[in-house]
Amino acid sequence: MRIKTATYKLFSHIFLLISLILIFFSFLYKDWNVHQYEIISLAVAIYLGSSMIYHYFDKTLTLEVGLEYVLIGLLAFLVVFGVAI
Amino acid sequence: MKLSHFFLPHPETHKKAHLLSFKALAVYIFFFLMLSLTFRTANVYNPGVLGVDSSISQSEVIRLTNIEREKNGLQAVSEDPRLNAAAMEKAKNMFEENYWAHFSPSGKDPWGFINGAGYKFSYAGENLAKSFYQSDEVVKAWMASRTHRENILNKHYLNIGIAVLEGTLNGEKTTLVVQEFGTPVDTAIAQIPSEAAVKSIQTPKEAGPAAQTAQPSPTVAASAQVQAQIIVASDKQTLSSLATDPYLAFKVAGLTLLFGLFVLILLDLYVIRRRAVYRITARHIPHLALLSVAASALFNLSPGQIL
Repeated sequence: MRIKTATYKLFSHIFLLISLILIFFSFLYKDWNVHQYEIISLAVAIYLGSSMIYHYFDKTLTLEVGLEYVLIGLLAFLVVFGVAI
Repeated sequence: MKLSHFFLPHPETHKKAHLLSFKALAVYIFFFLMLSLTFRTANVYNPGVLGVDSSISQSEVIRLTNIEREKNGLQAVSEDPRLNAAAMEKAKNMFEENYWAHFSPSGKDPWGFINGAGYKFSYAGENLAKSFYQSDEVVKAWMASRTHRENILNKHYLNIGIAVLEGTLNGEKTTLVVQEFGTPVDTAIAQIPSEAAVKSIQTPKEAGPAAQTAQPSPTVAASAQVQAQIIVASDKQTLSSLATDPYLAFKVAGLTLLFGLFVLILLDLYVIRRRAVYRITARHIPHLALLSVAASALFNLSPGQIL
């Protein structure tokens, strides 16, 4: 049980680490819109995945919690992709 | 309903601030969908009104191109009026036939424009760019792309021609930059290029449209592939551009919203921690991290495109 707890709690930190890496790559590929789209797509996917896993094991995965992640993920996605008019 | 409830968690129920509620998030999403739709519609019904205002200089593009060549130990290319004319004809044709490609819908190819301007070449290449704000951004974008970079750094080229032309493409006001490279046929004969090299440059048309997706051979060095690579241009525009530049407007609106949400989530985290209440809710840190990535990606986007 202790191992399980430690494992899923990792998800609370793993996205933060991945985000820092993605921000680094975002600036590294500053001149490439294609890479910016890839970066935000990857970020949203990992954000949703890691959050759902965390809340599932934490037994706090409710509809409201899930919806909040989905809406914020959608907003982040839309703000970046919407600029490509 | 108190004003503070819009920004801070409710003092009794500890619910999130109204500006972080589901309704508010849905409103933000709706706003951005509408903003995008408005710009698209405006381009359809009022073509040429919205777009990027550029300040690109022909001579500056040539100067920056030569700096890149010299950095790589190559000789500078000299401006040729015939290639300038070919580039200008190409740019005009793109606006007239309303296309963004190396080959026109009516079948015109880059080599036709160069030959048509009276420049008989043994080597030739073309780079295209549109919707950049500044000259240095154009050259930087080309240098960041392998195939365009190969064109700029091709040791065979002796001449260059540039055209910078404003117009309306697909309903959007834009500035096209056409860069033509060439080597006159008599010079190339003196250099005795390989037969294969000469042949490959003179027969791109024979390959048909399929050739557009193939990687150009190093000897051809013509970026004929239709693999649009979108590059960044930094924000150097004024506030007055906000009304007519959809990219800038979207960027400013997006960054403002992301920053606002970031602050609200931080406030929520701080207040809830201070109150020491337990609340089953989504976690703050992933939200903050995602908003940061989105802001970073949005900041690094640009309307500029190369081909």
